[in-house]
Amino acid sequence: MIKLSDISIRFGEKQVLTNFSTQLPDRGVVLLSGESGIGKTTLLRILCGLTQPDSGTITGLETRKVSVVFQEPRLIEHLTALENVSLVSDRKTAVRLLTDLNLEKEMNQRAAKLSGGQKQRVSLARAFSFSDDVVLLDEPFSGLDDQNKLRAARLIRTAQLALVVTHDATDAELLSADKIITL
Amino acid sequence: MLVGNSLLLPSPCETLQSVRDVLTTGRGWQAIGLTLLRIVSGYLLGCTLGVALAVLTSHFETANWLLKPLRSLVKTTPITSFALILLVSVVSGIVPVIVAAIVVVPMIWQTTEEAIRNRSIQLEEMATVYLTPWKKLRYVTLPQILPRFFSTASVSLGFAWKAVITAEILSLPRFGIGREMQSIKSYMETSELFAWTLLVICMSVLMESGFRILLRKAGQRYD
Repeated sequence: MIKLSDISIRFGEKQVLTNFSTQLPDRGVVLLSGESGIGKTTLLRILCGLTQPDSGTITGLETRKVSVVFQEPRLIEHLTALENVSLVSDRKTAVRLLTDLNLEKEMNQRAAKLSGGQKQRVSLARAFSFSDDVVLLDEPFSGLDDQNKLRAARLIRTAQLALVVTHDATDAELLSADKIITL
Repeated sequence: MLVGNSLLLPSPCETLQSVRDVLTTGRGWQAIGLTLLRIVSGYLLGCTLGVALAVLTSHFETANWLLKPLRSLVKTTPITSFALILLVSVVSGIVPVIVAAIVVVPMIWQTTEEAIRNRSIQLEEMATVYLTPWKKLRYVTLPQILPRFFSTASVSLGFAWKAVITAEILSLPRFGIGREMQSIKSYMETSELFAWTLLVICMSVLMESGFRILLRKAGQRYD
């Protein structure tokens, strides 16, 4: 069980999270929803260690390997799709995941040449290639068509624990979410 | 009227003959060799110091606050002042090396610092999550910095040439192109002066072209 206790954070004048507490199960798909600007992405950043909260504690993540799908794909543009993914794991896993996400033909193309949706899928493949233990996903379906949304959802469900930030209510159904946290 | 008067403006034939004369003497080759050594040493020293200072000032605001005025000072002070000041305390053969480094340092420092500061925070964060420090440096940080660094490094090589020759003229080391030019000027051997100037231009262009080819090959990966 991952436990978040009394997390507070402020950016300048704006208080983003105030004594926020919740528990995440060890397994399953958890959806994090709420209005825009309420702190969903900030919470994800705190969980992966990129942002330090002003106060509060997180327990249960110490021994787990966390990967992240950012809102933007954040690929290394001069590397190919395959190189981007195999940089964080082995080539075999990278090829399998890119194939699962319907990117066999684009595997050897430079990231700079890929479309937004293709980049997003490469970013998903990279996250799962690195670790499927705890995967934090920030709007993972943005820019994906229906077919690729289904492929992505299938992959997300293979994670031990997936925490998905979304503003789209239909994503809960698509992902068969086990828990929904509303901020 | 001027052409043919070898004292004022030697003919191309006279100049080329002087080039041949320079290249057939041991002293000529010694001068070329030592000047090249000074350029390469000063340039590499300047690049190394420039990068080190850029890393320091881009990561520590106190260092930036303390050292930024020094950069402005170095940029605005004439090369000749540095050379003459250094002559008081440094061996004449070393003066051109230090002067070249002084010219290269602020250029490399400023560009590298800007490149470090302007790198993508998003990519750096991604690398923090996924990559080891070595992979982060190799695949994320350096590719963002190197294109700008290479571009300035190429330009500053030309400045290093000018700085070394000027410093050699002022410091008069035992061997060096600048030393030869200064001696020739005293004897009014204008055709030889033109020959050395031609040699300097050719060597400088060759060196910069070779450097650019190397940089283009290195940069292709990041296009």
